[in-house]
Amino acid sequence: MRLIAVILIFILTGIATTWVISCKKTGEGGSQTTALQVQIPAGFPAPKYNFTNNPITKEGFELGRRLFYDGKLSKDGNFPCASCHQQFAAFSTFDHDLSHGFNNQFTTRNAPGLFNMIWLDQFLWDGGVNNLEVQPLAPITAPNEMAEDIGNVVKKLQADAAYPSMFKAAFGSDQVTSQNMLKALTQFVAMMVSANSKYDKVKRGEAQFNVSEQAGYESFKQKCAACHQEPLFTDLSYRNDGFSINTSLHDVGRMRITGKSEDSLKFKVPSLRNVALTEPYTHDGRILSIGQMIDHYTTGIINSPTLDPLLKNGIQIGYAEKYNLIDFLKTLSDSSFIADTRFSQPQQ
Amino acid sequence: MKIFISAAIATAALFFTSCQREVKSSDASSGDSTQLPTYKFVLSFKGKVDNADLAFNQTYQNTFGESYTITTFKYYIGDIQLLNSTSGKVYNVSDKTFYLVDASDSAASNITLKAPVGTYDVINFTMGVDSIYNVSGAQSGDLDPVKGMFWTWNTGYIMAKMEGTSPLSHLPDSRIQFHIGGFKTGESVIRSVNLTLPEGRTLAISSQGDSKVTINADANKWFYNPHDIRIADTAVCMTPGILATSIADNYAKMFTVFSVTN
Ligand code: HEC
Ligand code: HEC
Repeated sequence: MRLIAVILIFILTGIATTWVISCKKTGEGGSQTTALQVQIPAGFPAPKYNFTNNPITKEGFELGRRLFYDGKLSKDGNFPCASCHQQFAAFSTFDHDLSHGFNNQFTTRNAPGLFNMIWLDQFLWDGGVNNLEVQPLAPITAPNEMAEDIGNVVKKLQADAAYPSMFKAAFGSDQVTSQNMLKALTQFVAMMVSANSKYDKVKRGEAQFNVSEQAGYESFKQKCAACHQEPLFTDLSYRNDGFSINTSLHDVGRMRITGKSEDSLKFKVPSLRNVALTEPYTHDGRILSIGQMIDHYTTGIINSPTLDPLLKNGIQIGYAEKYNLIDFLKTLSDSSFIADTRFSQPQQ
Repeated sequence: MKIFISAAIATAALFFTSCQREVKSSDASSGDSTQLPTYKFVLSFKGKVDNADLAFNQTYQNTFGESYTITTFKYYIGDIQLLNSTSGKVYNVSDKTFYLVDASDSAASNITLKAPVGTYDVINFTMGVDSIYNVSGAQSGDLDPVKGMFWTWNTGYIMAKMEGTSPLSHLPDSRIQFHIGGFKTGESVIRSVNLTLPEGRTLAISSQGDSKVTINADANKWFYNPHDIRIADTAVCMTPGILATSIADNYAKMFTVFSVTN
């Protein structure tokens, strides 16, 4: 019996290997690419990103990774994606309410963590961007419309010693185009799946919550999960979370995109995965700790016409319950994700 | 042991699915299903202000007597269709292909297309970029964001752009900035244009392949009919919405056929 099993494993592994080889496909320029597959965690919905026109390859992913860490994408060379999206902070900006950028551009919002992006089809706190591929255009060019600058980035990459051959390896042509640059960045970001926290291990039966984590999980399901829905820990809706308008930034949130007054002060419900790593919190980073955020729900809700109905009377949370909730939220930190070397700065 | 076997099966299955991704999105071919040979013809767009040829930085007056200059004049057209209204024959020249017409660039004002031999007396096209390209991620060619016709903070194409100056503008540097976009229901600025060629001047595509239709695009039409747009009130439009759709209602009427040569 044991022997049969061993033989079976050998045969199946053989089949798998054959597939790897046959998956090496010939690109337009005669280059070989190796297909990579995003792993969809058990219990997650189908991804919203459509891979049909941008299948992930090892070459495209590595190109995207290099681009993500390269200052060439910013005007003065100092602000790669990774300057605001830091791996040890689950790709948010560590310890900054608003992120710094070139010429103070794009510092009007708190940088969210980057993970599980393929399950979104609206990006930014107000949902203004509708496809992961075009998201990088916003930081590269500043929040207004100066897309001409993309042309400069393309020129810089074309003139670089390494990029043209990497574009050729990934897309079959050493002609750098904005489209292929954006596709490569997307391949890199698309692979960032975070689903290996203690919470996930508990769900998979590989670990157990301690008493306070378990109690915290129970209150979470009762009091928070309507908006921060499992397994993504967001229902992807836009809601007014009871904050007053930021009087210096005048950020009206979703209303900027829809133009509708009923969307005033509504922001995308953020995922709470890795929340213990992504402080400070909320769209403008005004909340400094998870504890302070919970206090906001109990005592800080500000009434306004668009306030979410679920928050009309605040949320009642007892003293011990607060600390149980914090303990539970800490189980959402995915230490293997922030240590995953596939996503770290590449060796030049 | 069972776990190992299923893991191996899962791995094999994984690679199998990864291979199915190889289906290449083959060039969705434009044109008719009939496989007739096609020949070249040119759609040439000419910028105008009333009857004058558009010249950048020259002072013009709109219908309200407001003086202004133009420094940028660009717009997308696509879904070009030729029609013979007698036979009812329709030929789709550029299904789902979009061209950026730029008055500052003669190459980008003359669009070379192909159609089968025949005579046609109506030209239909879309002004704007089909909504599918506004939601499908990174595009190339005339839809490449390097063209500066793409909103990065509220995804979507700027379908038409007119910039210039006017002493009546309240903007810094007396600027005029009309960036017209919007594709969602209720805020779409995508307009269809139907041009009937002048009596007796049909487009006759032949194997010579040298027919040309010249179409005038009158910038002054942006300001009126049916909506009055006064520079003194409105010198800027940078978001989708009612102002953008109003200007689009106006500019959809800016085209007239100037000449047909066969
Ligand atoms: C100057 C700092 C900065 C840089 C550089 C930067 N980002 Fe961001 N990023 C942000 C901020 C701030 C937000 C949230 C903005 C908003 O909601 O309006 C954000 C949002 C995002 C989002 C959407 C996340 C979500 O949940 O909706 C993605 C994806 C992203 N960035 C990817 C990138 C990539 C790829 C690059 C490099 C091309 C990059 N960022 C460069 C600060 C930055
Ligand atoms: C009515 C929907 C709703 C409910 C219920 C809700 N939240 Fe939120 N939560 C939001 C929204 C919306 C934001 C973003 C607010 C903003 O940026 O202005 C948010 C933000 C947060 C943040 C900040 C995350 C970040 O990355 O910036 C934390 C932490 C948080 N919520 C925890 C909780 C907890 C704990 C509960 C239950 C006690 C809870 N929320 C209940 C809608 C909700």
